Amino acid sequence: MPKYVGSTDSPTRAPVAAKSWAEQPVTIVAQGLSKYFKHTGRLIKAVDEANFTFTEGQFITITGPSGSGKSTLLYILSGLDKATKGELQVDGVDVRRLSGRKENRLRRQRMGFVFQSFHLLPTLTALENVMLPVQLLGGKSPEEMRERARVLLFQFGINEDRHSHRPGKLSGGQQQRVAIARALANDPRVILADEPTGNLDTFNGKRIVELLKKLSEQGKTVIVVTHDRSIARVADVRLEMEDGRIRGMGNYVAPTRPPTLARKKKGKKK
Amino acid sequence: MRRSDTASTLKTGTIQTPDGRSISIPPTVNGISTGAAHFTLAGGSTPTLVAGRTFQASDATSYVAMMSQTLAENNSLTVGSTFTLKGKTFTIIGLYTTDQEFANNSLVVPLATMQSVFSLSGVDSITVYAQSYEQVDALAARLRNTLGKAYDVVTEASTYANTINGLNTAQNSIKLALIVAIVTATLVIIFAVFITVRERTIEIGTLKAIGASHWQVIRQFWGEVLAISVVAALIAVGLLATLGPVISNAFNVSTPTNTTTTPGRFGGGPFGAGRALFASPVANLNVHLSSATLNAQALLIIVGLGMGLAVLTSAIPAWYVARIKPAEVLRRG
Repeated sequence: MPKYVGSTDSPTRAPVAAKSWAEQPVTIVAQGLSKYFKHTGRLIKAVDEANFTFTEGQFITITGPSGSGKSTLLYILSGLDKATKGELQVDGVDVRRLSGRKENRLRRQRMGFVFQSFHLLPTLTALENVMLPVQLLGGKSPEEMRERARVLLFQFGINEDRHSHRPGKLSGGQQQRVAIARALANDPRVILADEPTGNLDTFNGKRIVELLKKLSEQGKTVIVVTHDRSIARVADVRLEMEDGRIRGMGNYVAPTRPPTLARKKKGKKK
Repeated sequence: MRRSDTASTLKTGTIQTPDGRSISIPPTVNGISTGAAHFTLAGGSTPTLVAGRTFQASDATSYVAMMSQTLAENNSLTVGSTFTLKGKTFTIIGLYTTDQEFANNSLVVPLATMQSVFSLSGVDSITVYAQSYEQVDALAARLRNTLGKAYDVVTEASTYANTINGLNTAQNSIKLALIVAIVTATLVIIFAVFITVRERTIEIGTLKAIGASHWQVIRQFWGEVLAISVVAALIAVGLLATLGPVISNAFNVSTPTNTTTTPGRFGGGPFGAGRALFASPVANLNVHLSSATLNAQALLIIVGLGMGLAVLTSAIPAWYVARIKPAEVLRRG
């Protein structure tokens, strides 16, 4: 499979980051990746002919309007959704040819998930939530699992007095930090985040973005689906989707809109 | 022959009516042949001699009586004491007990003596014994044929048919109620488990998304269903152990059966103390709610039912988890 580092199916934007990332080990390669389904007799192209290559340490954002196919693409990358056609390799593994059991194993070992609504298990404490992926993977003693979870929670600013709290007793920001700690519990190579700041205030959202960015700097491939421009601004690679197709791919470019128009629009929104 | 001593000088006991009232009833006087080998008192109860003796052939016209121990105690009488019946003084030669309230308010005198005292002739009834239960109907038919319409020939079976039918109906109703209760409980459990699992769709989707296998998710729900079943079974055992005996006692019914027995069945011959005074044509039917008490069988049923329901209901999470597509769930969530 050819490498499409920084490439795009839309030539309107110049491929970027190819130079800086070309030497990095490749973690995700997609070629002609598509997801089609029929709805009331009409063929819907949720993802259409997506081609890209992501490398270790990249912070990637997938943006686009609602229904553009960005979440579907994320779920295909994680193996939670099956592509209709195309090739997909994650960490050297051909995801499309994996059995359900091996797919689960791939997710357990090499992927970490962060969701908009956190999706922490309400009956478990913060510490137990972080221990969960390690338990699912197996091979570690309860004490090792506990220690790993404790270290991660500390790392993400969750003090010990909160470790025994259930998610309902934590703030949104704390819950999302616990969720990120859970995503990292098995030290995955890829972090997949679906609108991770969608339910957070600006301050906590910014904090989460900083954390995710830091993780990419530590060598993780971080893929974030978002509407939040502030996240896209710090991305190494930005995928812009529309009607299932990747319309743009490259470094973040600030909108070049006359300030007056921008102000007017802002005022309108109010 | 059986009559009530409405002008009795004896103190009578009171009995409790079904609506809770206490009423006083006159003692029942039974006249039996002194040569009778078998006899029952009101309601078919078999008396058991506890003191004194039973009748002898020489007692045929004597003023002697056997009395229920309860009636004797109510009147401070014992073997050898005397009492007055229809102006005649009778001597008590024996005391008996029965398992029926009505029969405990009775006394037995020789048939000839009773006919004389009550100015009666003949008898009320003649009891005929078949050699075996299977012969009863044929014997009754033959007697009807021989005696004609002037006599009523009834078998114990028909005498107690209403009672037995009533009990059978009650028993069938209890069985039906039990089946309905079990089916309802099963449906409620299945519905509850289904709702519980459905409510946790996002949890299941999340677990699958972070790499939990199908079986790892199902195991969690099976564990929960099993734990609930064990707790439910323990509660059932606890309830049965504590409330079972109380309920069982409250609903116990004792009544004669329609089982005709052969004379030799009760030993016949002279009756000693503590033995059946009169061999009865009927054996006592004791309807006990024995299943309402904790025993090995009840324990097995509870545990079996609990585990069966656990297995049945655990299929729901298995089926549901298999259907859940995490991507769809997470998109919604």
